[in-house]
Amino acid sequence: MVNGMSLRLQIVSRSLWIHPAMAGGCNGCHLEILACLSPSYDLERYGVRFASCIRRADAILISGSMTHRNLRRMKQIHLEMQKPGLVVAVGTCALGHGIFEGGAVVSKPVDAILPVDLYIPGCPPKPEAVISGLGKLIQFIRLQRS
Amino acid sequence: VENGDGQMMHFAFQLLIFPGLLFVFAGSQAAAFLERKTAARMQNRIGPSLFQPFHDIFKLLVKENEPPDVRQKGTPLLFPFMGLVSAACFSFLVWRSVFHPTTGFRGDFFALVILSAAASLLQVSGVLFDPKRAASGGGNRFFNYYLTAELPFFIAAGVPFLQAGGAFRMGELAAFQKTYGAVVASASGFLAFAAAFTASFVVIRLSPFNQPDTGIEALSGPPARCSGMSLAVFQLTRQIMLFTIPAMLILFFLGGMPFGGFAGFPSAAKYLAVSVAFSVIQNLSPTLGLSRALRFCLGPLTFLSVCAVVLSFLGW
Repeated sequence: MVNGMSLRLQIVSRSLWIHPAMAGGCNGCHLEILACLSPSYDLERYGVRFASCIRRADAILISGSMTHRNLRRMKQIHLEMQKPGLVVAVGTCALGHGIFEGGAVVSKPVDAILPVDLYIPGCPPKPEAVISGLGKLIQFIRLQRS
Repeated sequence: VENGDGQMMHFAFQLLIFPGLLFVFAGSQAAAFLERKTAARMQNRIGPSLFQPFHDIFKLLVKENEPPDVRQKGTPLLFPFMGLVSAACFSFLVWRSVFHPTTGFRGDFFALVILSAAASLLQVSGVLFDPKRAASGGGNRFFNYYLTAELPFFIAAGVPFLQAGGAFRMGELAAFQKTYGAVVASASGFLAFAAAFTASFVVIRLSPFNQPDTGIEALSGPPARCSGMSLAVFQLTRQIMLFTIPAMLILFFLGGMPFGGFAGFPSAAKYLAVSVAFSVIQNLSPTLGLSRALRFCLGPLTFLSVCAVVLSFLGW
């Protein structure tokens, strides 16, 4: 599930800063991710914060169908993320399915391009599902230590 | 010789443990927690855990550190680091004046005012050399914003100095306030406190009255391209200022913070009230752009502090 497990990654898991990235699609998953950061869901209580700049992020939350146009951009974003960093595919489209599957502009699922650490399916996944997924990821990293 | 060694050990303990580096670091993390928790409660959220600010800083220190631009050799880290050292010195002097008012040196009053300015200005100086316009433009705007806010702050800081009859030592100011009451109790002291309190938002790199445009234009500009260790240095400096500026305002205007016996409770209450007031006012709703914020600092705020100085000359 998690690549390159290390002590640094376990330290990162206590303060996970996320950067939502939209690869294409209808924008529904992106809005659900942003809803997680609102006062109603309060991700900050788990130590998760929004990073406006990819250089500060510890995890990219990629949502939507990967279009040909955004393929290079997503690779660039992943390169610019300071290590250790995690990749999370959010939504059915990012997993290679969904209503845009087989479309002319859709290239590949996210895991065919980047090493994905966590999959959160749903069309769109509810904020509770995103929070649950991130919680499981953090828990998994911490359990590796024990 | 033994007495000299003892004094040296005592000073080393003060410098490194209390009220030196360890105390300043722990206090800055507590201040950051208090700020974030207050904002969370105002937004009806639970907010972060007690150790979250520490986890954030620790995480940034272990993350990969990449300079914003390969053409810049040391400036992205050097200037923020110098700012951090200034902030730590400033904090040490303030808290030493709080716990040991008689151990100051002649001129420490002015040293505090100048160090508070140096910490913030050094911190953003590095980005002025940044070839990226987003960062250097942010640095320039912060300098403008900071200098316009620093003018009323400097003028207002003159009021306790004048009222105490030219007190060059913090100890003399503390003794004056112990005898004649807090500076804020007089008309000139009240006006000066109001001006200094408002100007202090910029020193801490907060956006007073939740100025979202100013926050983006000026305050987020300097660390825009920082990550990893350089961002940790930026954040730590800001947290130290957040921890120390309320104590400085209390020393200057609110009668100091005696911590002997039961006097510690009102002192702690005073400190908490000023610290929480910063967070609460920061999250209030009125919004100002950068140009209006500059006009506000140069206009009403400077006028207020000049009025305070004139009143103090008149003996009010």
